Amino acid sequence: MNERDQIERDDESTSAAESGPKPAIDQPAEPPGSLLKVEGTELSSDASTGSTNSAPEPAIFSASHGADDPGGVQANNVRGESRKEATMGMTITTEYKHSLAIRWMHWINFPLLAVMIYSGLLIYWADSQHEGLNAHRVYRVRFGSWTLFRLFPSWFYNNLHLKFQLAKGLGYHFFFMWFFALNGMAYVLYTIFSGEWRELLPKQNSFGEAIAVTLHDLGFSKRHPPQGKFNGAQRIAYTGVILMGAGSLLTGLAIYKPTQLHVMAALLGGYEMARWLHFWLTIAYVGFFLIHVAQVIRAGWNNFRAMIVGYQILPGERVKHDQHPL
Amino acid sequence: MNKTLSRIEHETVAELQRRSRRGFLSAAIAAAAGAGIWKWLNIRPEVEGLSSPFRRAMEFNAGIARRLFRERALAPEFEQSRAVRSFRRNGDIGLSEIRPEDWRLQLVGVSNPASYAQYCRDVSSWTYGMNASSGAAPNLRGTVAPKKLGMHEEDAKGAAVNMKAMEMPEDMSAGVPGLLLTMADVRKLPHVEMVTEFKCIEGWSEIVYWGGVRLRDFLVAFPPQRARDSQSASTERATAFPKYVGLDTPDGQYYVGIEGEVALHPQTLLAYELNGQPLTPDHGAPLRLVTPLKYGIKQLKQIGRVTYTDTQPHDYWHEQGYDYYAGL
Repeated sequence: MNERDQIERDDESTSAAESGPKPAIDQPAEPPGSLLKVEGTELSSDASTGSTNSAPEPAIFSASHGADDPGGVQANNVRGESRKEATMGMTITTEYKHSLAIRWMHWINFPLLAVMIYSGLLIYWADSQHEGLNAHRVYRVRFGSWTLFRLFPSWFYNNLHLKFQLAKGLGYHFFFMWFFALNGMAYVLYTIFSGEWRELLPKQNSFGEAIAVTLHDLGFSKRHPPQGKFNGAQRIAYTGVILMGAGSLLTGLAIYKPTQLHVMAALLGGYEMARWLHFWLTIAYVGFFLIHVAQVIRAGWNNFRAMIVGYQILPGERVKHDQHPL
Repeated sequence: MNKTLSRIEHETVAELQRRSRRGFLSAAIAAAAGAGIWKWLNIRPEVEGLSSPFRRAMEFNAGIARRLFRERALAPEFEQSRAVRSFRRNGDIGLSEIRPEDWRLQLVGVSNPASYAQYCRDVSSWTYGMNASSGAAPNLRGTVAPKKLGMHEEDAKGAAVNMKAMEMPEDMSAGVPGLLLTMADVRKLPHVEMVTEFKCIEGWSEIVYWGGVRLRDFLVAFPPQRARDSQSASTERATAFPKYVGLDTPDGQYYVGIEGEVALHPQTLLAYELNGQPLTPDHGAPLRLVTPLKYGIKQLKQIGRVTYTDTQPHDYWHEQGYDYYAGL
C-alpha cells in the first residue's frame, strides 16, 4: 500500500467505522451468524484476505456491494462526519455467510454431479458412437438439415476414455443416483426448514436485478444493484439449478422405468423426449458450472473461502473505495 | 494507528485464520475421504463383471422395482402406422443359420412330459440341422468363432464371446427330458399382435409391430411341473410358478432369464411376425421373445430352448456386467 492510499484510508475511516450496510454491533459469544467487529483495523494488512487484498469485492457472489447504493454513501458520509472524533479507525467484520449444512451439501453435490455426468457419458457413448453399423440418431445442434455439430465427436470420447464402458456407466449411474437425489432433497428440505429459502428464491425485483447484474458483469454498465447475500441473478441461478435437478430426477425416472412409469414418460413427451430433456439438462449443468466457476473467480478469495470456512470478511471502508476506485 | 487497534486487528485476523485453517483442513480430509471411497468402490471384487458395490446396488434397485411395480403396468401401444418399416438389427450373437424345417423348440420343465406326443427323452440331443433329411454338414455358425458385428459384443469390455453350453437343468447323463415342439404347435395358440416401443440398453428405441403368441398362453398350454402338482385353478397356477423362464439360442451362445411375472405378462410374446411378415433370420426367425418390460438384451432371438425353473437361469449380458433384471 502506498502512502497516498494510506492517507485516503485514514480519511475514509472517519466515515467507515460504524456506517457499513451491515452495521457492526458487538455481540460476543453469539452463535454463527454474529458479526465479529473490530475497530481501527487496516484492511490491507490483513494477510488472510489473500489475493483480494484491499480491493473491493467484485460484483457477483459477493456480499459486500450494498455500498454501491449512492444514497447509502450519502447517508454514511453524513453520519460518519458527525462521529469523526469517536471513530478514528477502520472496521473489518467477519460474517458467517454459509451454514455448515449448506457447505457440506454443496461440496458433496459437486463430485456426485461429476460422477453422474461421467457415467452418463459412458452410457450415452453407446448410442452416439461412430463405430457401429447403424446410423445413430444422436443429439446435435442443427439448423434445418445443416448440422453445426453433434454430441459428441470421436475425439471427445477418445480423449476422455469413454468408450466401451456402457455396463460400468450403468453401474455407476444407478448407484450414485441415490446419493445425488438424497443430497438434493436434503438441500431443499434444509432451505425450507431453516428459512434460507428466503435468500434463495427469486423475488419480484430479481429479474430486473438479474438483467442489471448481467449488464454490469459483462461490462456494459457501471451500475451494480445493491447486493444482499445473493443478488437477483444469483437467486434465479441457484433456484433454477435446483429445478433442473428435479427435472433430471423426473426425466431420469421416466427413462429408467418407462413401462412401469409410462404415464410419467408420456407427460414428459414420451420416452425419447424424456431422454432428450435428460441430456440437455446435463448440458445446462455444464453451462451453469462454467459460469459459476467464472463468477467465483471474479468474486475472489474472500467469497470462495466463505464456501469452505463459512466466514467472509466485510471490509468496513468499502464505501469510500467505490468513490475512489484504485 | 494506535497500539490498541492494532492488537484488536490482530485478534480478528488470528480468529479468521484459525477458522480458515480448520475449514480447509476439514475440506482436505473430506476430499481425501471422497477419493478413498471412489477408489475403494472400484477395487472391490467383481461380481459378474461389475465391482460388487455396484452389482449390489443394481440388485437392490431391481428388488425395489419388482416389489413396487410387480410388472402390473401395461406398456403403451401405438398405431400401426407409427411402427418402423425396417426394424433396427443390432446384434447376431447366438444366431445360427438353421433350415426352418430343422428348427424345434426344446421345452424343459414341463409337467408330465411323457404324456405329450412331442415328448423326447433327451431334448438336448436335437442338433438343429444335423439330423435333417439332407446329409448336409451342420451349419452352426456359432460353433466356430463367432463373427463380431458392430459394437454390441465389444460393449462387454471387448471380451471375446465364449462358447457356452445350453443350460442343463437336470442330470446330464440321464438326458434332458422334455418336449420338442414345432412352429405348428406354437401357432395353435391364440395369435396376438401389438405395437410397442422397443428399447435398447444402448439408448435407442423404435416402435415395432409384432405378431405372435403370448408366453402366458404357452405356459397354460404346456404347464410347468409344480403347477400340475398344486392342483389349483389355472390362473393361480399361472402365478404360482415358474419363478423364472430361461431361454437359449440353438447354439447355446446367447441365453437369458426372465422372472415369472414377466413371463406371465400379457405383453410378453413369443413372436414370429414383424410388421405382419414372418421374422427374418436376423430378427430371430422363427421365434423370438418380445416384451416391453425388458431391454432388448433380454428379448432373445431364435429361441432354441425354453426352460421353466425356480433357480435363476444364467444370462449372457448379466455375465458381462449388466443388470440381471434389466426391467423397464
